[in-house]
Parts: sequence; C-alpha cells; structure tokens
Amino acid sequence: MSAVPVTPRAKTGSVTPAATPSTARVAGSHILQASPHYTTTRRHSLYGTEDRVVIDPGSLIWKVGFSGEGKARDVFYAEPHNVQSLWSCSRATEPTERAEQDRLLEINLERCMRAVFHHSLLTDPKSRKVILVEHPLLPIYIKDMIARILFNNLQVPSISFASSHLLSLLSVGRITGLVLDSGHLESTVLPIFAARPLFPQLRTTPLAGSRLTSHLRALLLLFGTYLPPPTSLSAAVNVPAANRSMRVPQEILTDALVEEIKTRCCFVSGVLETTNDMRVSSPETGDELVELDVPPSDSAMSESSFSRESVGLESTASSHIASSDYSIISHPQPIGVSESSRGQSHLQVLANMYMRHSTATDLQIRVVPPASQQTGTGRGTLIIPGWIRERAAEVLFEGGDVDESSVAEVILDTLLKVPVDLRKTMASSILVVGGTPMLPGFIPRLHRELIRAIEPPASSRQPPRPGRPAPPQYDRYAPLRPLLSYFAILNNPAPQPPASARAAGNAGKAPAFSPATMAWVGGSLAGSLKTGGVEVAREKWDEADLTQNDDDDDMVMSVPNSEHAPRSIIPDWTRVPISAGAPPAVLPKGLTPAPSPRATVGA
Amino acid sequence: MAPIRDKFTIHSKAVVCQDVELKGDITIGPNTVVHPKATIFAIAGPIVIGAGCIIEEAAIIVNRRKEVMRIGDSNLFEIGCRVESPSIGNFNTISTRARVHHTVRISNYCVIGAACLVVPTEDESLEDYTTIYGPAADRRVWSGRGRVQEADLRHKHAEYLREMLPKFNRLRRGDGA
Amino acid sequence: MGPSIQYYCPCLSGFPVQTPPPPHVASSSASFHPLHSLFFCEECDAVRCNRCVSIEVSGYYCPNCLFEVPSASVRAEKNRCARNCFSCPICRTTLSVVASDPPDEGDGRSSSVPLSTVGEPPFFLYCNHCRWDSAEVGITFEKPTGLAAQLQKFEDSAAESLEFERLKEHFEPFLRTSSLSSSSHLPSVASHHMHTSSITAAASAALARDIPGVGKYNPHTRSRAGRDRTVNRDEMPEYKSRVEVGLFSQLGSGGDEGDVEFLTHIETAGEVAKLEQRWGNSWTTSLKTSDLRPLRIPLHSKVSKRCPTCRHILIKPEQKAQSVRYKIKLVAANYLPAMTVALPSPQSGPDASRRVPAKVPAAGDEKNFTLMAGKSYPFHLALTNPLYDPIQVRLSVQRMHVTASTDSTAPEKARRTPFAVSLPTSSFPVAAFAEAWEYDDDEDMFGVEDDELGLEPIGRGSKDRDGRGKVKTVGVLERRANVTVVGGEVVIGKEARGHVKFNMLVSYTYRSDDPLPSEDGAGTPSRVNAKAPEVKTFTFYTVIDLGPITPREESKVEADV
Repeated sequence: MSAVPVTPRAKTGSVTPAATPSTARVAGSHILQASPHYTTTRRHSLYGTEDRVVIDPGSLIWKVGFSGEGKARDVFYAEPHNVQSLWSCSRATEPTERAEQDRLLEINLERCMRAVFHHSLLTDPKSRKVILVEHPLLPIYIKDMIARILFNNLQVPSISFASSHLLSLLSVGRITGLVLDSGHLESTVLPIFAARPLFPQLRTTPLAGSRLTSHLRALLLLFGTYLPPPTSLSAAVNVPAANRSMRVPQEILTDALVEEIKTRCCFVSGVLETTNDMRVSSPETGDELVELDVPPSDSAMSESSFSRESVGLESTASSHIASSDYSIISHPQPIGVSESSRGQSHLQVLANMYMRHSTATDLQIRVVPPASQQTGTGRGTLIIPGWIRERAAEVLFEGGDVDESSVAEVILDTLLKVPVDLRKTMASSILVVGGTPMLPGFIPRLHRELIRAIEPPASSRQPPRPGRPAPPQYDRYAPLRPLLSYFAILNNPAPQPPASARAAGNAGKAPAFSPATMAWVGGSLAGSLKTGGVEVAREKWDEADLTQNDDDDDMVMSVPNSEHAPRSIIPDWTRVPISAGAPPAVLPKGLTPAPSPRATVGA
Repeated sequence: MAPIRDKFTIHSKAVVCQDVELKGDITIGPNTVVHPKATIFAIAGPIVIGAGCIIEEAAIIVNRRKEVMRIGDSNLFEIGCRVESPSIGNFNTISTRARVHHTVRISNYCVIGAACLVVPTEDESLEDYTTIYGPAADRRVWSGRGRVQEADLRHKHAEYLREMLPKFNRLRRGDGA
Repeated sequence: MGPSIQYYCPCLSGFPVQTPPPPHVASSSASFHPLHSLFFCEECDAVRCNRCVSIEVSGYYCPNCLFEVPSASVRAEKNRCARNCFSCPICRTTLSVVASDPPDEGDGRSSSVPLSTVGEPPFFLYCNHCRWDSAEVGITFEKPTGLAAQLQKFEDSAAESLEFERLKEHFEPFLRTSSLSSSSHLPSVASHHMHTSSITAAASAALARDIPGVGKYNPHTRSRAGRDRTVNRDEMPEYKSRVEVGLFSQLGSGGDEGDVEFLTHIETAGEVAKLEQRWGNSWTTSLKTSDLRPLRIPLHSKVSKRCPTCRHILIKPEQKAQSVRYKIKLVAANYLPAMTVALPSPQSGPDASRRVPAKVPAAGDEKNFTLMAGKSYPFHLALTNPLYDPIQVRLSVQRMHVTASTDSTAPEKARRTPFAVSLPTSSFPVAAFAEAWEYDDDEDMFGVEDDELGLEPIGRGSKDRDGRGKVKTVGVLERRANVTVVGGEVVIGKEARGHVKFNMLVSYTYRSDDPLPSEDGAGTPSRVNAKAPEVKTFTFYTVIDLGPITPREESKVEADV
C-alpha cells in the first residue's frame, strides 16, 4: 500500500490483505484500475433512473439496492423488533384465521416495501423499474401480494421476476450449475442449465436457518447457564456467581437473541466421526424437542458411556479444557441431567459427546432479564457452552429422514433426478448461497458431507448399536459414486485438494461474494445488463386488475376473502404443464423461438 | 463499627462548594472542583481525592470499605454518577448516571459510559484505557489516541470551573467544618 | 398506558368496504393511526394515512450536518453524506474528526504545551462514546475536510465493484452476440407483457447451436466420448474471477478456516461483529469487530406527499434543510375534531375530566386504576373543534361489527364476553375554534366558562366517582371554548378479558362555505347566515382502547374491599 501515494491512508482492509506479494499486486491493480472504472460507474445518467431497484425479499431479511452496484444499499430485518419471519411454510387452514394472517402479511409487506423506497433508497417508486429476486418456492399468493403492493400502492412502472437461484449463478459468472439456497425457512436445490432453471428437479428440505434457530434454542435451554443480575446492588457481593447460576429461563431466549447468538457465536466444524452413530440415535430434533418425552437420564448415561468408548483416545486432549476453563461450566451439566429428568436423553448424548470433543471456548453474553425479574440492576449473563457454538449446526447435516433430508442429501437427491448427462456438470459446479451458509465452516463441511454420503458405506466404521437393528445397507447414492471425484463447490472458501481436473477448475473459483448476497448481486448484474426475468408492466397489471375487479368485489364481500385468485399475469412456473422427465430446456431447434414463456420464468 | 469522625482536608486551591454533602474523613487535592449538590461519603474508610478532578452535581462518591479510597488526578465524575470503587487512577471519566460498584478498581484513562452499570460480583480491576459503553455495558480498549488533547481539555475545563464557580457559590474550606 | 383513541384510514380495506375491521383483530391496528399522523384530502374529502399517500422526494440532506445535497449527486454518493459525517461502526455515535496528539510527555500532563487550534495531521475519526478511532483500522487523513470523498475513491475501487464490472464485461459480449444470432427466430419485441429476457434468449441461442453436435438428450447418440463434451456447455467462456474465494482465504486474512479458528477461541462475543454490522457487505469480509470501518451517514429526504387517488399534494415541506415549516399542510388535525379519552380516576375525578386534552391524569393514577371485569366505568371523551365554525357531533359505537366478529371467529374469541358501551345518542355541539381561545386557555377560562354554561363540572365529577349512573354519566358533561367533554359508560361483562376496545363512528356536520374560512374574519359573516342550508356531514371511524380488563378473580377481592 505504501507504494501508492494517496491522501487517505486507508488500508484496503481485510478484503485484500496485504500480506503476500500476490496481494500486493492485487491491491496495486485496484489503484491502477480505479480511474477507468470510475468513469464506467459514472456511465449511467446523473439521476440514474434507468437503474432498476433490486429487491431480494426474504422471509426474514431483505436486501435492497440499485442495479449496477456491487453491493446492496440496505439490508434489514423484515420485522425489526422481534426478528421473526414474515411468513412461514404453513398457512392457516381456517378461513378467517387465514384471512387475518394474510392481512397481517400484507400489512408487513407493505411496510417493508414502502421502507425500501422511502427509507432505504430515497427514490421515487414511480420512476423505477423493479427486479424482484424471487425464490422458486415463494408462494404465489405472496408473490401476488407483493405485486399488488408495488403496482397499486407504490405504482412502480414494472416488475421483473427473476429466480434467485439463477441470479446467484450469474453472480459467479456462470449460467449452468447446481444451486443450493439455504435460507431461513428452507434449503432449496435447483439445477440450472444454460440459464434455464430445471424446476421439475427442484428439491427442498426444511433444514435451514429457522430450524437451526429452534435447535439452538433447545440446546441453550438445556445446557446453557443463566446468571441473573444481582437482586439488589448492595447485596451483590455476597452471592458468588456460581450460586446464582440457574437454568435458562425461556423468556430470555427471544428470537432476536437466538438470532444474534447464531450469527455471532456459532460456526460449523468438521465431521465428528461419531456423528454417524448420532444420526441413528437422534432422528428427531427441532421444534418438538422441548415437549419430547424420552426415557430418563439413565439411558443417557449408558449412551454416553457407549460413545465414550467409541470415541477413544482423542477425548483426553480436549476434556481437560472443557473442565478446567471455568468453574461454572461443570454446573449446567448436573442441572441438565437432574432437572430435565423427563427427557432429552438424546440431546444429553449429543452434549456429552460434543462437549468432550469441542475445543471451542464458552462465551458469556449479556442478556436482558425476563420482564418479571427486572430489578433495575442491569443485565443477566448467559453462558453458552463452546460445544453448542460449534455443534448446533449439526442439525442441518443430520439426514436420514425422508421428509427432512440433510443439506447434503438434498443436493444428492437433486443430482439423482438430474438427467445422467448433466450430473457430472452439475456435481462439479455446485453453488451454495443464502444466509445459513454464512456460518463459518459451513461450505467446507457441506463438501465433506457430500463426499461422505456417497462414499461406499463403510460398515466397519461404526459397530451397529446394541439393541437396535443394524441400519439397512440401503445404498441410495450408489448411482452417484462415479461422480465422487467431480464434486466441487464453486464458492468453497477452503477447497480440498481436487480429485479431478474438472473439480480443480471449479472448486473455489467463484468470486468472493458472500453467499448471502449472491442472489442480490446477480439481480444487480441482470439489471445492469438490461436483462432479468419476466417483466410485468403496470399497464398490463392495471388491465388485468380491471377485468378482475368484479371477482374481487365479490370476494371482498364474502367473509373468507383470503383466496384472491392469483392473477394470471404473475409468472408462475408451477402452473406450467411439465412433461415428466423431460427437462424444459430440451427443445428441438424449431421450437426455440417461442419457448413457453412460463417455462422461462426464472431466467 | 464506630462511625468515622468528620475530618475534611481541603487543599487551599481546591474549589468545593458550600452545598456539598461530606461525611467522614475526606481529603481533597489541589485544583479539584466539587459542584454543589455532590455527595462524598467516607462511611467506613477515608477518601482521598487527588488534583484536578471535577465532581459534578449529584455525583455520589462512597467508600464502603475500611481501606482508604484513593482517587487519582484529573478524573471527571459527571452528573448523577455513583462511584464506590476503592481505587481510581488518573484521567478517568465516569459519565452521567453511571454506577460503579465497590468491587471494581479503576486504573487510568478508563471511561464508564452514560448510565452503565458496572456491578460485577467478584472483585476486578479495569485495565488502563478500558471503555465501558452502551446498554449492555460492553467493553473495549481505547487506543489512547487523543488522550493528550482530552487531558488538555479536562485541564481547561477545571480551570474554567475554578474561575466561575466561586462567583456564584459559597465555598467550603477545609477543617473548618 | 392510559386509554387511547386512534383514527381510521380506510386505505387497507378495499374500496367497497368502508367499515373498519373489528378492533380485536391484530391486523386492525394497521388501519388506525394517531390523529397527528393523518392527512386530509380536500378534493376527495377523505382521510389519508402514511400507508397510502404517495411520496415524492423534494430534497435530500444530511441529518448530521444539514447540508442539502443536490439530487444529481445523491446517486453517485450512494445516498450518503459526502462530507465529514460518519458514524461509529461499534456504537453508531457520530464520529468527530480529531487531530493527532502532540508528542506526549509521559504523564499525559501537557498543560505546559498549548495545543494549536488546527491540530496536526494525520487526522482520524474518533468516537466520543466508545472511544473507537479510525486509526485502529488504518484510516487516517492528511486534511480534516472532505473525508468521505477521500474514502470514496477506495469504495469505488473496492473488490466487489471491480469484480462486478468484470462480471458485466464477461456477460455483455455474450448477450450481444446471442441476441443477434437469436434475433432471427426470437421476436424482437415481445408481443405481450411477458418479455422474453435477453438472458433467456442467450440461453436458447446457445442451446440452438449446441444441439446438433451434442444431442445430449438423445439416447442414441449418447456415448462415453460424448461425456467430455459436458465440460463447457454454456458456450460461454469460463469466467475467471478477479479474486477467487478459494484463493482469497489463503491470502492471509484466514478466510473460512481462519474464521472457524477465530470463532473457536474467542473470549467474548463482542469480538465478533454483529450481523447488522456486516450484512451490508456483499464481499467476503472479516468477522472481527476490530475490522469494522466507519459508516457514512445516510442522507434523509424531505418528502412531499400526495393523495393516492386525486394526486393533490397533501403536505409539502419548505426546501431548506434547516426549516421545519411546510408550504402545504393538509393535516387531518385541522379538519377532524381532536379527541382524547380519559377514565376519570376516583382520586382526581373532576380535574381529570376537566383537563382531558392536556392528558393530566398522572401515570401513577392510571396504573392504580384498572378495569375490573363485571363492573361498569364512566369515561370521558373530549372533542376539540379545529374548525372556525361550530360543529354538531354525533357518536355511535360500531356495535354490529364487534358482535359479528365474535360470532364468526374462532371459539377462542367468542369466549370473550363483550362489554357494552353507552354513548350520548343525540348530537351535541362543539364550539368553533378561535385564536382567542389559545390565549384564554390558562387564566380566566375556568371561572368564566363554568358560569356561562351553567354546568357544575366539579360537583358532577365528584359524583361520577361511584360510577353507578345516579348522576348523568352519559351525555355532555362540559363545554368550554372549542372543547366539549362528553361522558360515556362501559359495562364490562363478568367473564370479560382482553382489552376494552371498540370502534366508534363519529359524524359531524359543519357549514361548508367551501374552502375553509381562511382567517378568523371569515367567522363573522358566516355567523350571519348561520341557518344557511349548506351543511355538510363528514363521518369517520375511530377506535377507543380503554385499557386491559383485570380478570374477575382479582376484581372480586377488590370489589369487596
């Protein structure tokens, strides 16, 4: 940096670390390229109205900005106060309840949309076309709602609907690949070939951010420790902290707090060799955890002694760290066993095993005490065991459930569905995007899990658990085994030594955009390239609106008006008649001119 | 425990307003300014305040321990703060309505932010340049850049107060009380 | 929280429905707003709220330095102040620009050295709250002005911008050629609303060229040799990233493995930056709090608001950032009677009723005063007329809807026994507003008014206390100046719970001599033809929330006492 005489003596920061000679070159080229790029970024008109507004509306987090820019202007929680998702995967079935749910959703969406234009971007919605980064499984009624708000309330001139998976792919300079988007509600895999999303091969699993949050909450409730603030300021000194420690009250684990712990303290570390055992013994994890009724802790002890044996030598190294570190740490364990005698034995097993293996430090964070215990003496302290930070995300990699495949399995399931010819291409260009992969270590772990899942089942690795039938030797992913050496994650920040030239050419070759923003960056790119998805102009909308008005009136009057017939004008790939098996991209030459417009929704 | 007898030793160059509540054995160093309505209670042990400190209105300084509570030089105690630390170094700032418990020793150049509660249950001492701020009483370590300017400002601040306060307040003299 | 009243804006219920949603539904809260946040469109004769007005930016300014930013440069400066305004990445306090310290004399006592007023370079940004400074992340400046401009050079050459430009260059030729080659069989102008995007066009073009040779879906031509053709199907040159994420992590900053390592060993959560502190970065960045960089302060905008249906301007601020005045200001408070609701607390009875608009009942009183199930309570509504003409007001509770909701909704809601609200049934007058009232307010009003109106608010107030309707609790209680206080009563069912919350329809008639009397002089001529038939009625809904109901168990004890 010192070679470049510029006024602000700013290091380029961590982004381009100036450690090795190669970085110095990179840093230098910044400056060299700065001036021409300066002019190119100024190329859009002064007021820049042809730049479109790119909105990536997540159920939890929104990213918004102008097309042609490398990063979003603003990122915000859709529900800033209680960090909750705007919608969920389920929808009320009871009509009035559903109507109410929809109204609330619409109110929130409207608030967010208005904030996008009037607060984040400070721009006139009437002069800005919008690119809506659209998740392929975004329910059509929400899409319709968003369109209604943008056209009617904000009066934008047009909306382009662009598939988030495709846009993510664009942001790494490609138009073919297998994209895993692991967001808040779902992890969804979509293969894309030559900019065409192969929607029929889409696979999804609920193992994603929100599941991780609920799992983390369950773990914290069981194994965390809470030190309430002193009851009065003068008495504080008399009670040592260890005596004040108690189980974590449920009220303090607000969504916002768990979200903060998740994003600030958690990470993913490598495969623990014993997890294979775990995944058999703990099939149920997630929201139901708290209510589980599992046999008492005796069995847990036997489980743990079992896993201790199987763990063997390596445990000694780490165990003393866990025990010597802090006097209180030993505390939550007995609490966990004694007070939760009603169950969670498998969680206990998890705890015992992970605790032994984890070298992660325990963390203390200050938390607002529950409203009933606020004594004006400041905040309480929540102690998060290190192993929870390290292993909470294991829930995402625990497969074996038909309905809830692990994040790795969902990729492999998709590959199984992809036509054989495309498999190698897809396997070697996997792109992982979304908020959940922002967990440090997620992508390398995912890669290892992929390999692990398709490696020949090593029955010798784990002795079958006593008292249970040995897991069936069902070799689900055998057809994918030839691809083993080809697996490559494009944005793998720590690529393994590649097993094939193909993988070497792809793994870790993507630009270092963060997984969470790739879809937005792709949207921005599409906008600046004057392309994007299917565009719906306001005139068309208004036209359709007029013709639909009569229906609407009727529906508003009738009580359960929740079912707005989604306007046919909104693109919806699910309504495309899809011939089973044949991907929509295969069209004989003669047909290409007029591809069914719906089939190319996401493009 | 026999109550400590009142004994106020106030340096001739200190400015201590009449309307200040003092109790116990208190020593106030030169150039220190104590605003009216401040409270300094040496309940169990004596309090020794160094030079050039500023103790603003409604600040409360209490010594609950037997040992001498030593407050160094050029410290600023802002309005409504409450400090019970057994030892305080130099150039510290205790901001408005902050509360520092007697389990905390403060070294030099520390800043306790507005309304921060520092009430650890075990004894601890804040390193030099520790800054405590925000509703959760987060901590960070100040680089110390700008401290000379701040010390200079503190100095001027005290100088100004020494000039202005006597014009509008009666002053208290040591040992007379 | 004491009792509250909010006004209804019909924008959320589609236009045929003008009645507000039942107040117990959570979504209803979005339809009701405090009066001061509402607008009034004279053309449409309707209330407008901040959810429905259309907003136009009339100027940008920095909230910190109040500099008005010309809209031409707003875009390039990324809606951020381009002068010296930054906020602390740690605590969001505004940063100040500070010069370097003079050489220290060891003990920090530099009183002998007079500091120069200008200060010495390098300058840096300094947070007065948490003592963060920009030198910590290596940002210093030679001169203390135009800092943002100095930093922006680096922003423009930031890794993500350069990578982005490169991506654009990568796709552009591809799009151009493919759209050319495909133009022969792609309609250049999409005949209907679904434009075929050029990326799709490109893709199809690529496919079209691909197909004869590859035949990848044709089982007959599939062969071992054909496999290798899958290497690059896109017909697009491979994109070579400027900074590859895989290499990026090997370049010292630690990357992903480094992050895992770092997270494993952190001592406090504070070492890791909050999600909110780093989620704006689209580029892979450090997790560490210590690497955060100063934030440029986002601009604010002055906006004018228009009626969504007739496009007339409802409010338009003066251009200057420093000014807080408006050129046009059609706020609902100037048209609709302002209403406040109060529960006369037993202790402070008369006073509370008298000075309702001032919201006198102290917070302490209201905390003690709870609504018990199975009892009835009087409440006071004070209406203040903003118009220069007297108005006749009629109130009615929107009863039908409340019951409707209990009928139709889930059994859980039906359980909530409704309460009954009685309000004065006949219309009552509220005197006209006159500037003079404003001045009278404090001094002579009390004595004079009571005499004139022949009311005995004090006596009545004291009798209100038992709340059993021996005295008139429902009806006009007091009239003074342009304020009329009316009493109502609510009878709470024995099993009631939740909030006493109901919708109230307010309709008032006023003489319309079209545009509102602009000056107080207009009041005099209008009084002459007071009986003029030109009378208009405006109707609007409000929701009144008297507060939560204390369930019966506790109330029984209380009642016996």
